[in-house]
Amino acid sequence: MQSLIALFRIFREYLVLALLCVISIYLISHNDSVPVKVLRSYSIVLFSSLQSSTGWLSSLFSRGTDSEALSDVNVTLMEEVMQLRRLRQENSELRNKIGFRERSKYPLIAAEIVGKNLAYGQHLITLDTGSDDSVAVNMPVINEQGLVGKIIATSSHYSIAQLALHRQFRATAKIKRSRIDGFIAWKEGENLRLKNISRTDDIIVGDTVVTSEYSNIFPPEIMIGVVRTIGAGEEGLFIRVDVTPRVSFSALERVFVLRYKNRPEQSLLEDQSGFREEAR
Amino acid sequence: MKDIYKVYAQWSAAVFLLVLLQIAFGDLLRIGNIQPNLILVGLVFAALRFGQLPAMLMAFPAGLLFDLYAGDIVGLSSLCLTIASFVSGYFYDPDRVEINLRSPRTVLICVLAALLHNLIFVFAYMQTVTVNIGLLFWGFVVGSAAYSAILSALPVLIYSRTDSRLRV
Repeated sequence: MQSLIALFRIFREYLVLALLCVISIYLISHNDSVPVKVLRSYSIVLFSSLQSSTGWLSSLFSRGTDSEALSDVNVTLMEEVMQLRRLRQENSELRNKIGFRERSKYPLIAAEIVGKNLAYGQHLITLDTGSDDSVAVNMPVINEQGLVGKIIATSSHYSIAQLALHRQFRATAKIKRSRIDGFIAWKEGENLRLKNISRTDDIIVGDTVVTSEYSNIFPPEIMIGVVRTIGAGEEGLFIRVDVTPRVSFSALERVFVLRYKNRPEQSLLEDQSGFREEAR
Repeated sequence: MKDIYKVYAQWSAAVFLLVLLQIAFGDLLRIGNIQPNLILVGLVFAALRFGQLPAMLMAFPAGLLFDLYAGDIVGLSSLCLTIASFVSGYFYDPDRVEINLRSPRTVLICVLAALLHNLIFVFAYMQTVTVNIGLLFWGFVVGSAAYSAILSALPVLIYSRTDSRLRV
């Protein structure tokens, strides 16, 4: 016993190091467990209020909004909205005539960004809206430019959103012009890659990429970006399609959370039949 | 409470404060994709002041706290910070604490600790992503380590110009 204690005294640093490493590795492998999620929600409550109180300092140094440029954009958008309303009316009448269901409208919850973590591959933001404002996990996050990301954690008054530049972010997408389907994932820096596009698909540089109808998280036709380059892929039949995101992630200040109701029956069926889902 | 435990408590509070600063102001200090690691800088100083064991015991909860809020993989920062603190603690000499803390050697130790921290972090974090290794190494691993080391030079410069009777 004495020798054991003596041994422990000699190697205590190594033993403590080994113990802490084992605990860390255990936590890493059990990131999705309930206790970790509970701890995470408590930390959101603790730190979000800190970030929101220091957010004003960040905004002093971040790019300011140019009111003149915004006015021009506003006028252009208003014209587009009027045109879209007219087209929507026309579309609705046509769909009613051939028996299509009415597409649902998605209420928006405006949110200010009170914290950012834009370290390499992480790209998480903290919003000042939470479950008390009806924000829930997996709700899409957008701004006037397009798709920003999705909610991954909430507390009563704050929530954390995973940006489209996060390494785990995935969204089913399509080329607006040719309706080719694929899925979008982060590549590196501030670039995205459209995957599962085969060599024979009709795609050109400059094509617009939007969310597709096959997603159970994102409503269709949300702007993602524009095809920047097309090249030979690493994986056989597929080509490499790089997409420049429409959203300027480093200049994000305000976003909207879409109260988009996904289809629980579809989710359940896909889970039961082993359908591959977007990364949660 | 014994004096030494009082000092441990003060340093632990300082490390906790660094966690808060990293969360609140980390993005302000970012240059491109490179962010300094204020928590690591504090832990290197703690390792040189107290040795491996106290530094590791401060590093683990600090990393965990950071991961729970701002990190993606819970446990990764605590693993990297613990190992970096352990390595920094190798340079601890109870007879030369004040000399080491006032010496530019501290900055070099910070570079080593930061490089090790970033290498482990990148190795574990980027397993599922195909990225440009060169860009990742020079941009994130080396860049972030250099930025952290530059920030660590500030307290060394300030402390080295104080009276030798001032002890932390």
